[in-house]
Amino acid sequence: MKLSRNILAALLVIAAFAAPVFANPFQGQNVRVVIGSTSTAGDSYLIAETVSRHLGKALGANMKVDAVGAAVALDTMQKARPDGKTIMIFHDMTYLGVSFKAYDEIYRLENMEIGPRVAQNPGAAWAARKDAPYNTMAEIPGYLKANPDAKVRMACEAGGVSHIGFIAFWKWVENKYGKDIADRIVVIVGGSTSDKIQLLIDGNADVIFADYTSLLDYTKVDDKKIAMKFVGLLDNVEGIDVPSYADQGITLTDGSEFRFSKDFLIYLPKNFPAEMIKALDDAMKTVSEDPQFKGDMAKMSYRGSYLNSAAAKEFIYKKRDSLQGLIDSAPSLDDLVM
Amino acid sequence: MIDFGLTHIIMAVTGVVVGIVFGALPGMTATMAIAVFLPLTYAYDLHVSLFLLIGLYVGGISGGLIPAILVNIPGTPSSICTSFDGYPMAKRGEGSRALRLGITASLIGGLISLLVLFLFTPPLARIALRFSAVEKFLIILFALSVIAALSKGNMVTGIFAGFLGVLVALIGQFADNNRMRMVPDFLSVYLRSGFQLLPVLIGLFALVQIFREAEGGMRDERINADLSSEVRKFSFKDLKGQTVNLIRSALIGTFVGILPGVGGSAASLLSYSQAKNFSKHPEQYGTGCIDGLIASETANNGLTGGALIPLLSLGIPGDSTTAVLVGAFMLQGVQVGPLFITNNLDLWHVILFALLLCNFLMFFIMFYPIKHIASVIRLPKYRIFPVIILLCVVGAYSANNGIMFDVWTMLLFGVLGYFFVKIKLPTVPFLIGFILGDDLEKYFVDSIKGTGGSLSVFFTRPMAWVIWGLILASIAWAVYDARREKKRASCGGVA
Repeated sequence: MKLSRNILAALLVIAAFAAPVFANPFQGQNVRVVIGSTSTAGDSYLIAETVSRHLGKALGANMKVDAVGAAVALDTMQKARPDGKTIMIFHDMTYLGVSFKAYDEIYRLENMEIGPRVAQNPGAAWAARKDAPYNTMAEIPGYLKANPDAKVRMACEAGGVSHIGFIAFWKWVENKYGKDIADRIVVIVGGSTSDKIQLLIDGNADVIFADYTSLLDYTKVDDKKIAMKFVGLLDNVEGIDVPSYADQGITLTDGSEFRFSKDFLIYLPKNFPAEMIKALDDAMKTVSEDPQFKGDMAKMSYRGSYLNSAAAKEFIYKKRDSLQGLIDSAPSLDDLVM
Repeated sequence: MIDFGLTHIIMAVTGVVVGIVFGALPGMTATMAIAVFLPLTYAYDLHVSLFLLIGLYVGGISGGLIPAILVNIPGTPSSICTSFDGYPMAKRGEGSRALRLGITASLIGGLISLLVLFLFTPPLARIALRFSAVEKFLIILFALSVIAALSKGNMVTGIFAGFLGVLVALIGQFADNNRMRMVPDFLSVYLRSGFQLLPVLIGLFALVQIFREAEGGMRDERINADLSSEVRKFSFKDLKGQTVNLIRSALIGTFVGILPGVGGSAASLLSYSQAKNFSKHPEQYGTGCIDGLIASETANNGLTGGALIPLLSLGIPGDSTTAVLVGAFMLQGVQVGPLFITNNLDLWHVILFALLLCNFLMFFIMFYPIKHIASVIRLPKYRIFPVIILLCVVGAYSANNGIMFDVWTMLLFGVLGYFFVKIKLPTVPFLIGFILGDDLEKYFVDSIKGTGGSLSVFFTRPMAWVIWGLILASIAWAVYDARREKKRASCGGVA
């Protein structure tokens, strides 16, 4: 009797120590965090790396970012087992690629589980050469009107955030200034930020799309060959004096405001266990309140903007649906390229 | 004054040693080494971390010469040309001599490019800006002209193999519109990014060789004679008469490094072809000629300083490895752009000093124990080949974060390469076409993007005319040289 009481006590002690281990299904696990970019200098990598570092500590897991690119990352979410060993952190291109039909329907949000929102990057910017004859996006149609032979070549990525920013602008020009003017705003398809900078420097594009921070230095130099100026942001950024679409009066065709910040969410394979999603939610909530995390994000001009998985799912579905009308009414990128 | 102490030395040594291991293992690269160790840099401040990262960079680029010379498998794509002459040297019993020559050439290439980085960063960055996609396309074409130089006596077949390589490089998704090409539906998941370079490289170099050995039966023989009785030992006097080759190759490597996006393999190929074109004995290239080995190794290390020039002065990474370095800077809140040096003078000095230190560390770490490393080839073939196969499988599997398809790719290209040998289709031009094919297409498309598809863009810029001239001269020389050789051979035959 005495022995069994001792065994019971020992079991209780073990259970008490083991409880936190069982409560966190990620404890001690290696987690591969795929991202939809191959660049290690873009916002996708920088945000995923910072989040993974803090989240890994909170979960007691070893999280490693793997910059595989959009197609492979989306594919990985379809093939990976829902065991917490593979997750994805990516921005709006996750659904925009499918909405723009750049990626197959199989990759739609419904075929993934949505985890918490981990960060936001409001600094999606358009920049032109410093000596460009326009200072804002809104001045471009006026310039084209005054110069009937001119064209403005804008570099953006098919199915990406720049694509949605471009068609919002293009539709506004078409609606306000007519198709003749809009047709002279053409697309140059560009890849990474470095490629787009090179396109602008080479004179192969007139306006490029990139993360605000990645172009900031170029706006501060005098060298004519590389000097740039920001001509518009998709959303207002606190403390940054660059007019957004809303400030410039670039609206959707129904006159409503267009604003777009990149939202970074954790995406998970279908049938991901609920207790693991809860663990991610709880850990991310703790991380997002950590001053060190906030400081790390602020250093790169990003912001932690936590939403738990349920709220994030509702948010991202709503955001996707609200953009579908604009995407459906826009001409194909194939018709807009030079 | 820069902060420097024991921690910095330990980090640099660790970086160089680990980098050499990554470079030496087929399938692992300097880029991969830096990416793997990037998270470690949070534990230290950026200055200390830079010694580790630059050590990984220098070591990773240099380590590739070991398997290229000893077992004819380039550890990294930029050491392909090293194997052309390094392996024949090892086969005739000059393994440690070839390694020491390569290491010394690497040090000289690294130091010359560092000097160029230190002295001429701003003006060279201005020159780099003049190289648009048009010039980059032509530089790739120029590097491809090495196929003509390498295919002496069999030029049509060589050029055909090169084109075949370019064609295979284009398999996969076209990035600009996300459409797949030349891929059957059932393989679309695996071939979205096309065949990966490292598994193809390992298959064509390592497996083909093993298949051929297996065909003859795996007898109890060694790759070469006992190293203690080497045919010829290394001496610094070997570098006598190589001054022009060393400087030219280092400058070609540095120059190619300066051009953003054009990688180390192009630098090494370009340098090798130019060394051959300028050589008084071009017929010796590919047979264990030290000039070829020196040209390749000087150029690929010359790339290191060059690739940092556009990164530090324009914020545009020169190659895939420096692109990962951008991430390291930005994660620490350091903006990498045209104001990098002005705003971060201390970091600039740390980079220069770390490069200098790591180049010397690389030399000392590899040069002295090289005899022990080289002794691997004293093992009998039937023991070493299974280890090589294992390393190849591990390398192919890990090249792209553990994808089994890459192992099948390696096998496929191993078999394909074996049949190439059987039908006398040269493998090296195929591989060169495959390596450069992606960039060739990218810069071609980028060139015509801004002009609405007009090909005249390739003939409107003065710089482009200069490179056209170099391409034509290079091909004309290769053709002339091949004819002269043929004539000489036929005269010899008559006599």
